[in-house]
Amino acid sequence: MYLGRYRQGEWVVLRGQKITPVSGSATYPYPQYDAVDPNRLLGAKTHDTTQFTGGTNPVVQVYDKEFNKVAEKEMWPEFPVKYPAIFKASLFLGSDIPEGICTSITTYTNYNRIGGVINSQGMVCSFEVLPGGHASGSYIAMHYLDLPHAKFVLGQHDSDSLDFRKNPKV
Amino acid sequence: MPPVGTFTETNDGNVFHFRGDQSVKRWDGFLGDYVDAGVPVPGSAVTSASVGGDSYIVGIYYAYLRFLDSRGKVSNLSPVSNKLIMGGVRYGVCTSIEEWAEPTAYVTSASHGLTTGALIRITGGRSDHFNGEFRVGATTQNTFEIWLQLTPYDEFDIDIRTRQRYQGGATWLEIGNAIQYSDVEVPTDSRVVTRQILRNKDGNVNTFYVDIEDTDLTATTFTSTNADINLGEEVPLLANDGTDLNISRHSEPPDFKRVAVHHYSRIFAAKNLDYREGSVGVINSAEGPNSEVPSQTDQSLIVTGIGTKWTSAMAGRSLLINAPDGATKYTIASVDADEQTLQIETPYSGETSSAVSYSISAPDSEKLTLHFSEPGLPESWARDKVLTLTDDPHSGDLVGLMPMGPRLFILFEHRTQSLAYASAPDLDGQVSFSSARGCVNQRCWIRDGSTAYLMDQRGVYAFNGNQTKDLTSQIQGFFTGNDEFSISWGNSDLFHASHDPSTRSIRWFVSLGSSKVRFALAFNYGTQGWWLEEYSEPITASTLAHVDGFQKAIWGGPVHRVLKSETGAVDGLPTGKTAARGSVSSARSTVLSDNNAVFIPEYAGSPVCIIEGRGKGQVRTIVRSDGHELEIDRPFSILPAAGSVYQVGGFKWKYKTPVIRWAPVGSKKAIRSVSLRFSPSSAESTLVARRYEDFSSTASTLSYTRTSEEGDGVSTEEGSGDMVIDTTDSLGFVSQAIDSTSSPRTRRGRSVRFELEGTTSTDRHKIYEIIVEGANQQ
Repeated sequence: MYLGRYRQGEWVVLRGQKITPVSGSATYPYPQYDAVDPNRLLGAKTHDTTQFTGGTNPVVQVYDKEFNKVAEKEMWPEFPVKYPAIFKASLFLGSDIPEGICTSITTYTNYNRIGGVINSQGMVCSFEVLPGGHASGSYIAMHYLDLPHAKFVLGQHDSDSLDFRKNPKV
Repeated sequence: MPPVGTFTETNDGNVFHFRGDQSVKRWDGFLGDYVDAGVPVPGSAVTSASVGGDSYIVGIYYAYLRFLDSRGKVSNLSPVSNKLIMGGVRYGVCTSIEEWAEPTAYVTSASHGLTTGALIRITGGRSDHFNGEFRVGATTQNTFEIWLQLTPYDEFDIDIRTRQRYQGGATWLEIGNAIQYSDVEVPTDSRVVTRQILRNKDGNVNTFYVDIEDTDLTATTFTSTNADINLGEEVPLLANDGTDLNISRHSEPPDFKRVAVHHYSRIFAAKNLDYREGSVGVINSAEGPNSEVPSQTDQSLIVTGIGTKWTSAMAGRSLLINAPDGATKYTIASVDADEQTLQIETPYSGETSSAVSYSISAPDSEKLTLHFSEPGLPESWARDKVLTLTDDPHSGDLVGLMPMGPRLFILFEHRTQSLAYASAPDLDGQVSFSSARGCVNQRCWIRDGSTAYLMDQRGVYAFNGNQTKDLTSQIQGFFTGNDEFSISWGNSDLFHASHDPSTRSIRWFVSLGSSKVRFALAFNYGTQGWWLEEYSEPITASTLAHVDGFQKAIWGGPVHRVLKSETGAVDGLPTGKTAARGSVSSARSTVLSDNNAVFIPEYAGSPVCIIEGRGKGQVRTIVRSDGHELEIDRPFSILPAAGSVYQVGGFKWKYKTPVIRWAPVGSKKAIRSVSLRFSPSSAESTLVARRYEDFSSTASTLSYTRTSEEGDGVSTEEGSGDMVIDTTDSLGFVSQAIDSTSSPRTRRGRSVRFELEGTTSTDRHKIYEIIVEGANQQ
């Protein structure tokens, strides 16, 4: 699955769905996201494959274009009650994620009641990190400071950083 | 995403940043980076003891330790030391004193217990000549040598002493001659550059004095020979009226509050952080062997975070775990920020789960508290001085604070209260109900003089401190939830208001039908007019700045971009760069090429609009600009064809008139037209007019094709509804006839709306007048 194009400093939401290969009669709803804006939830559809809600959480590993692992994250249920088998992890594209095509591999293992492995599955997705980004990310709070020696724009970013920039001009 | 914090500035030029999950940060315009605000308090008391020394210290003493930072800001005092009684420890009777004439004399006193170096005072001798203070030299069990001077190697004249024979009657008393402080805490926080040990004077336990000052920060034991008269800086503990002056008024700012404002000489902090990011894994070891998570062991006290970013500041807060079998609250004992695990005080008792939702917040007792700094001391917070608001179930959550005049308004989701105080909010502060409207968050209000403009979930309103006036009755559809353009409140943490005083306009940046904050409900408080703006990228922060001598709103966007409002005719271009406009030579899904243009790299980050031809109306963000190519962030939905016109930095705008009724004309031909007066632009840009009959959502098409020259500045195309206006026409006036020849009984349109849509180029579009001929005068 292609997840889209992002710049450094943006967030990618990685999603995964836990299923078993055992066909069952149960159907589960799962969310549908906007193709252009992947964070926009459009509604729900039902899935005709049995979803598995127990066991360990899926883990997603992200590889750069040289296939070096650049991130690994455990996923968690996005909607624990409504869609218990849909998992997600948010990945911030910082300076450790280079430009180019990245591949995410989501894996999980299902166990039975006595600890035996039912199945182990994986899902591969890709997304592209574009040029033109900045590892600081987006501003989420700002303040203007006017001091005798200089003027500053102070900022908090969604990369979890604070900074200040001197003498803004247009 | 991290918690959205608030900045607040104090009169001394310091800026503080509160976010609720870590120490409050400070920056002063000179520091290389933000630092933690305040000074940490020593956690343990010093131990004091009497030792031999060179001083004359007699009395009852206590000691405190405190830390100072590089600016001399002080911490709270440590716990108090033990009680120390100095002097009178050993005493005895001088049975004999011999060889008085020498630099030394020998005193016989059975089992005296003195040690070399001790200082004694002899009193009671029948002759005053034997009385005085002496230092002990060599000792035996029953005798000790005394030096007839306090400092043995100084010059002295033994003749000042008597040569008389000792006649008995004298007693000696050891003088407490130095104080030793041990167990002195070594600070681990980099803010601390100085330690001070404070000591009282004998007989006064309200005022302490600096006895030891240390900048080395390594020793744990100090010895002081300062007599009371030699003590340093005075540190009073309590004022006459009982006000704490130094004991606990210098606590660090509260790290669990995420909203702070400066009001007169104090900072006020409110709104606890409710942290819910990610999920938690929990284990109940009492359930027995866990078949679903076989590798994990008994760890009922450990909660594991998934996708979390917990900080050590969260220790001591409440953890609510929404376990499958019910929600339960626990207290966090400690946080391992590296491993993202919490240790809770009592074992987890719910159902074992690999991922459940949770929240971390300050204890319930802090839910409605208002903390405030000491006057003029923004880094000193007396934690016992707190205002606790009354819980009102109709108010919703506490969301922010708004200073206006002498009052501080406390903003809830659906209510506003005000705090008025004279000198001490905890003593003379009065909280009262102000209005039945609230605010979305701390960032959704703007204050302009004595009027504030706020947005709550019911709309936008003006507030003068006493009365509210609703401003959004005309655009209520945004707030009802039934309109296609209704506001999505799910991401309201990032909503914010931006004020541009020069144009008297306020924008509330919100999400409409999308999770991204890239729409602005814009309001001009001069004309009371509303309009909607859409931005190609989210605008998630703003502030008011002085730029080039004017007050202007500046905005923060993605990838570290800072934008200034109301500047130039195009959008998002860097300083001094000219916008490019041209015809597409070729296009791929994410690349647009123009063989006749050379694009500069600085275009990256700016929008590019397709304004004419195939693919018209699409706006994308440029991520790479190089040579003849522009690479865009998202693929085109409709691929532009060769000849389609693009505009870099194009600012697309649209205006639609209200419904205009046509005047009745009877059986005559209806003479109708629409004319436009505008300011001619120096370069080509796009301006299109369209006509919508009655309630039609599609523009009325035109039945003929005409060039701009033929149409006196208006070009049309058969089958299209667009009347394309030549904005470079020096006349600044165009007109389009739309006569009607229908008879009175024919089914025909009764009203019309006109729409103008433009994309700027080098100049702003200035439309002075839309003249509709044939309209009903009423």
